Amino acid sequence: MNPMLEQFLFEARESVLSIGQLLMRLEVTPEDEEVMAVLFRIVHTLKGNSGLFDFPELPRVLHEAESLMDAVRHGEVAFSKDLADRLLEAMDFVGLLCDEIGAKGHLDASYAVQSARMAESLRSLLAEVEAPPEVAAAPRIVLSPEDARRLVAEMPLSAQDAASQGMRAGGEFNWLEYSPVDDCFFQGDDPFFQARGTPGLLWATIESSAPTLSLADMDLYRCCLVFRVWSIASRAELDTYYRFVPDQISVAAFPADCFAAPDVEPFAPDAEPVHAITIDDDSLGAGQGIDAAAEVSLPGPASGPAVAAVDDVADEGPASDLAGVLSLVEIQSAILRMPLDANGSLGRTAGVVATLRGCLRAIGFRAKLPELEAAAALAIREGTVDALVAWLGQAFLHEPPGPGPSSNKEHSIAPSGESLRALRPETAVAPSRSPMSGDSEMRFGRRAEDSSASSKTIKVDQAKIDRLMNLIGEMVVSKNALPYLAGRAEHVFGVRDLSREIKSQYAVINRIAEELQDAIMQVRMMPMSFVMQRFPRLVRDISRKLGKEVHLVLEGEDTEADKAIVEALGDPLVHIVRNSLDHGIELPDVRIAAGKPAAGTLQIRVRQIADRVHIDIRDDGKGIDPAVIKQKALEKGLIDEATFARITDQDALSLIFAPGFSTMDVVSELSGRGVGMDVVKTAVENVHGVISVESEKGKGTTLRVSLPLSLAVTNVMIVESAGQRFGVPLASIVETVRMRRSAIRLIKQSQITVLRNSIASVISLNQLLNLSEEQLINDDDELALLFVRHGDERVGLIVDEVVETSDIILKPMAGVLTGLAAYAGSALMGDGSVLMVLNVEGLLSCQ
Amino acid sequence: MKRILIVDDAGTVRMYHRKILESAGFAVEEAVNGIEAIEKSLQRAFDLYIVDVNMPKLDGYGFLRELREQKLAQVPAIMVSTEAESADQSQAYAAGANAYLIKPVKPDELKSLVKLLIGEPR
Repeated sequence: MNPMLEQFLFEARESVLSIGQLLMRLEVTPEDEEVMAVLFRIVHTLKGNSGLFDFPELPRVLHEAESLMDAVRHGEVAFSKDLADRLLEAMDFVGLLCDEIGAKGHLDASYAVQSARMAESLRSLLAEVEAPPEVAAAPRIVLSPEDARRLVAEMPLSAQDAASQGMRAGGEFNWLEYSPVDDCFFQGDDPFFQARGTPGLLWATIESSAPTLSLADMDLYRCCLVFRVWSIASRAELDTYYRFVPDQISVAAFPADCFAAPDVEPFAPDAEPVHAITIDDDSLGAGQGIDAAAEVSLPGPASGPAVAAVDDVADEGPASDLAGVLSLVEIQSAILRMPLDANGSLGRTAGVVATLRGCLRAIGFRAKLPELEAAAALAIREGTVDALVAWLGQAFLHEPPGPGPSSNKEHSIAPSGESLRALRPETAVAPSRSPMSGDSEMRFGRRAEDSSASSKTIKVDQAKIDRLMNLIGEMVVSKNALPYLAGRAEHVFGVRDLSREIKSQYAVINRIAEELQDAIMQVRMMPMSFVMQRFPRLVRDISRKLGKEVHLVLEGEDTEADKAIVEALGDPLVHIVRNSLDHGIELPDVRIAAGKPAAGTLQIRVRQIADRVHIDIRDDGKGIDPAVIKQKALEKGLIDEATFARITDQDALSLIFAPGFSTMDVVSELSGRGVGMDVVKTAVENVHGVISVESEKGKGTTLRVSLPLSLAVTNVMIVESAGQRFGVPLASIVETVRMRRSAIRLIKQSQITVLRNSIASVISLNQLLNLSEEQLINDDDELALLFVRHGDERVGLIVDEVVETSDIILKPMAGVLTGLAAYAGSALMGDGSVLMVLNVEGLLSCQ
Repeated sequence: MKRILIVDDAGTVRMYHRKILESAGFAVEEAVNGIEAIEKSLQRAFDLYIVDVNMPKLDGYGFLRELREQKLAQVPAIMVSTEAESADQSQAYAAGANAYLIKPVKPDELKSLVKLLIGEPR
């Protein structure tokens, strides 16, 4: 995609986001003028930017939003929740358009209609207070029979013929008036092209919609044309063709009897299709255009110079330079005439002088430079601009020295045309380069060509950071070769001193590598506010829709975590919040009946504890009743009768994470959509997170999510079993223990043990992995156990030996191996061997 | 090489103006608001300013006034705005702008205006 469009979309999304936030702030403090001003500025900027691209839908909506906010800013319209709703909706639409443009690079035609509707909806809010603005241009007008006949008669006979035949054949015949807006040229419209391309075009005329002004007052960049088009295209076709400017056209169907005029009839004999004449719409449109232009320039004495000036502008080269210079000089002269203020005027004068200097050089009129410098020096010395104005008058405008025209409006461009024409021959004589003496010393600030101004932030492609991250990851792994080398030096080659040196060198490299890793991690870190900033809006919208009052409390938004984790969290968190609002927090009257404040509280709290981020989402709603959950789970066949009988309340609560579980009988509009908490759980676990739920009936529910800060480097415990090495993610390990074999009892088929006064089941790793070997016992008749987290339980894994912990870069299983739930992935070790890393959850679930 | 400072809070507009000016051969720097523009101006001299009206912290008018209050700050400035009203233009001129363009500016228009004001890039 075009980088500028990309930049625009990026900025537009940011703007839409902050507009939303500001609107919500205004809802709380509608009187806050500062917020209003910022809001207005952002909308204004966004509108301006959107004009750079060829997506008329965007500025159309934004323009109305801007007008509306302007009215609010000036107190013409009161700020209300409904108004905020409408504006938020419009911003959502703009966001949608941006996404669409981002995804497809263009907008489907259907958005044009939507945007017109959206703009209309915004305008209607304005119209409620404004005096009815010129009877909201009824797009469908009805022609009186006289008008219709008169209009038909305006066409040449051949076109009338074609139209009447078309109508007799059952086709439509429409008259369309297209009045482009004044500033349409700046919106990228080409009204002439637009009108000429009208489908089914038979005939067209162009008229001027404004009285012809003298050249000085004429704004050449303002469109004041009305196109009248006769077309045999259907109404729908015309609407589609003019879909970008629906508010600028009005269409009327000709009645069937419009050809009834006796002087037309004879020329359209019934059964003579041969008579059909194809209209060369090229010559038609163009000819009419020239006519119209001639007409415009006819009346008034100003017409002569006007055409001449237009010719000048159209010419390439010095002529157009002259025109530009003229208008610039005029502006400068107007600036000089502006009332002086104490401080700025000297600088302003200097600016004007610099501009004039540039102008003189641009038209190669350097001979006048010394005069300018002299006048400027005088002006600056004496603190008045009279000298400069006088010089300007006689040098450029051929005015007699003395009081010039007082206002820039009356200041006509016409006489200067003469004077510049007089100048032109001189410019041909190349004047010697005049030394620009005072130039550099009059500069603002100092010259410092070599001190390059540095920016404090740089934008980097994420792929580059990922690459760096990978490389550092590889390095972290390869540094692990050093302890291995040290071990070999000592045990295999018996050089203990070398081993010690290697170890001390390793410590240095290790420290640097860790810092490096930390640094790159910092680069990838992103504040949680990235996902949390959308919650105020989300909560506001949902609670309004549900008729609930909710007070949202956000804490710790600036806590940072790896980009991948923050991004992966967005959807699950939104879902949790939706659930809390939908199922958790009660309606106000229910809450009051239960003795709670009418407004519920939803608290989202983020903290960093050690190398994990903890997110608590707490509501003070009705809580979850374990009994209901159990009952549902039983009905849905998620648990059997036996489990139902002995399951603890906590375990019952965890059932909400089971696939296929939803307590709502009717799938609700909000949390429904077939997404259950199991999806949330999977999403959290995908980024190595843990989710749990706590709830007290009647008091509220808390969902706790815990995530690692980063995904890049995994800390594993390396264990040995059946002669092989396996990695177990440290995050899932509770503790490692050596236990006498007798401490493990066999109850029915399963082994259990008592660890710190609580019972834990025990299982041997070999058995889980289907290896036939028995677990090894050390000399003291002890087994090595690794207690790991499995859901909310602890499970002891019997291994042969616990070796060491190590930082690894976990590579997920690829290809057919992805189906192996027992493994999280593999890692390359420092000595070149491959370590299989176990996925404890997956391993224990598939037993 | 002649150096131009674009003062605008919208990155899209900065990029747009930068492209036009760089294609004409000028060196371009950017500032996101009036304050940053002043800071940059203190570090090095520019030959021309292209200034947006609406900006956070210090807007275009404020920046131009500040610039012109440096007494001899005679660097030409073009103000760009979405407003076509003559009142807005007068305000820009009063603040110290030397020319006024309406956004979105046309590339040729900007190029030729800049060349009129400060000549060829080199």
